[in-house]
Amino acid sequence: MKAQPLRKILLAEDDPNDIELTLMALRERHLANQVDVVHNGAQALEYLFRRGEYALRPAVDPAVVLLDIKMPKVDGLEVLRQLKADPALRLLPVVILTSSREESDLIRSYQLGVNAYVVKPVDFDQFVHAVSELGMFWAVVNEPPPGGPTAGTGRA
Amino acid sequence: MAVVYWIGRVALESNRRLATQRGIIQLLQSVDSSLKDAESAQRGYLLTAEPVYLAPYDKALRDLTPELAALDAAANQGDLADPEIKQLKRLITDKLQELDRTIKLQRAGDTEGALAVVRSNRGKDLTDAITSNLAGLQAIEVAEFDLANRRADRATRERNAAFFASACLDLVFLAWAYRRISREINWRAVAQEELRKSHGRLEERVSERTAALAAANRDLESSNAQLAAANKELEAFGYSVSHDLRAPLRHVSSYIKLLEKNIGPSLDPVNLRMVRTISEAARRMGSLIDDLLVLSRIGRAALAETNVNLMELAEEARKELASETTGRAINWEIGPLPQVRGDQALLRSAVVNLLSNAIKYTRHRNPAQIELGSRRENGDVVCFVRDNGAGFDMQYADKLFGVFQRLHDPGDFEGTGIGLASVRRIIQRHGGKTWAEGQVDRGAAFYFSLPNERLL
Repeated sequence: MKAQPLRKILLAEDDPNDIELTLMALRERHLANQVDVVHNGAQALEYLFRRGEYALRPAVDPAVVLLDIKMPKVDGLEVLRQLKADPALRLLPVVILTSSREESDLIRSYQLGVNAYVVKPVDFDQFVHAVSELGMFWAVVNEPPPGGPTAGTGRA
Repeated sequence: MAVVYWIGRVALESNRRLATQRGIIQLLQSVDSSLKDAESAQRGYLLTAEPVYLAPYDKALRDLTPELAALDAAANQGDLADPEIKQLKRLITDKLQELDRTIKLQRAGDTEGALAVVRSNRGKDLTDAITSNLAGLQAIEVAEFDLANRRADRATRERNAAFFASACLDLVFLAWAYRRISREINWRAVAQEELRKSHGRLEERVSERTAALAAANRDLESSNAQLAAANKELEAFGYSVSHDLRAPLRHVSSYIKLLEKNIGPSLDPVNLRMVRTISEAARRMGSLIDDLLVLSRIGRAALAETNVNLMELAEEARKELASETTGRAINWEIGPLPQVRGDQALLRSAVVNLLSNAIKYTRHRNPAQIELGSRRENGDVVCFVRDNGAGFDMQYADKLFGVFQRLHDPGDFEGTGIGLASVRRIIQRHGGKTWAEGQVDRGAAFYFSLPNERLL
């Protein structure tokens, strides 16, 4: 499909139902195979900064991070804060994908520099539509920031 | 005091008169005695022709001169009656001339001539007249002296009495003054004590009140803390509803859709209806949660106040609702509406809600009448949306603005029952009131007021 190496989509989501439904939606656009899933904020940070169990992960940044807000251990907003505070990772596109329509969450997210904020629709058809379009746009249509294999490496 | 002074003056005057009287009486006695001395000396000289008798005679004459002058002075001062004195002096002068004539005759050696004068009795007559005159004067003076004496006594008594009375009065006054002063001192002491006590009571009350106020403050602070905690809890609840409840709901809705997709074609109509009912219920619950969140946000968010042109806002609202009016015959009557100070988005939401209701409940009217207007009432602005729709029974008018309160079957008119509750919350946030009038099948009117100070 594409000449360049396939860039991953990182899905940070604690709810197994939501993981299944999101993967189902991405499968509609044949994007499911390139999704890496982490189940909480701490894991997400280890993945992105390539440490802990992800220390040996190939040094290729994902095309986009789909980030839930309410997660155990470290929540999505804290992950977002650390990403945007890092000189190398701050260019990485981050999309908040959440059930929360709370104004405070929206404001905080945009203050931290989120690239998009999507409220998961209750209706399944709408949900599938929204998530598949999202995956399509960020993983395929959007041109990611130049970074390549070394971006985000060596971060402690 | 003036009385005492006057009485004193009277007494002094009486004493002075008394002294004068006494002097005059002595004077009269002296005159009498001098004349008698002169006469006896003359007799002695005439009988003996011895010059030795002439010495007392001359002395008597010398004494008489100032005595007569004193008489004149007394007469001039009014102490003696003038006519009597003149008469007396005439008699004395005659007597002295008679004495002088006899003395001169004797000296000249004419003893017989001198004695003849004496024998003529003229001298004796003169002497008698003088004596009687002097006695009369003396009697008058003595009487007057007695009178003056009595008067002086009376004046003294009066003076003493006056002094005594005055002293008594002084004593009474002093006693009265003493009583007044001591009473005053007592009163002051009592008043001071009273003041001290009342001051003490006041301080007691102040400290009581202060303590009560401090307690009330503590209560208030604790209430505030509780309120803040309750608000936090409410926010947490809102967040929870928004996030934690919506997630499982979304899952129900999603998996039932997947189920329908997978086995729908093989399901009989009864089972298919059940699956779709679950799906619809989940969708409805989702919109209820969304409405609740909107309502809670209206209550919590700060008002973003700007100048709002209600006329423009009404037109916008009508355009926003265009999709609900397609194919409908509606007679709109909008305005006039004022400019007000308020939150544009919230006021717009209120107007949209009211117009949307009017559109909904006039569904069975052809043509429908919808009026949005305003008027002034007691200085406040009152806006209203009136329609000729389904109306409502006035006995349920209070329920209209409650959360999830519906007066119509969901089958007749759809809706979550949150719209008018939102309107009420929005208008309350602007300091206004909401109310409604209606009649079943005869239309309804919904009112909201905005306080005078919001009018531009």
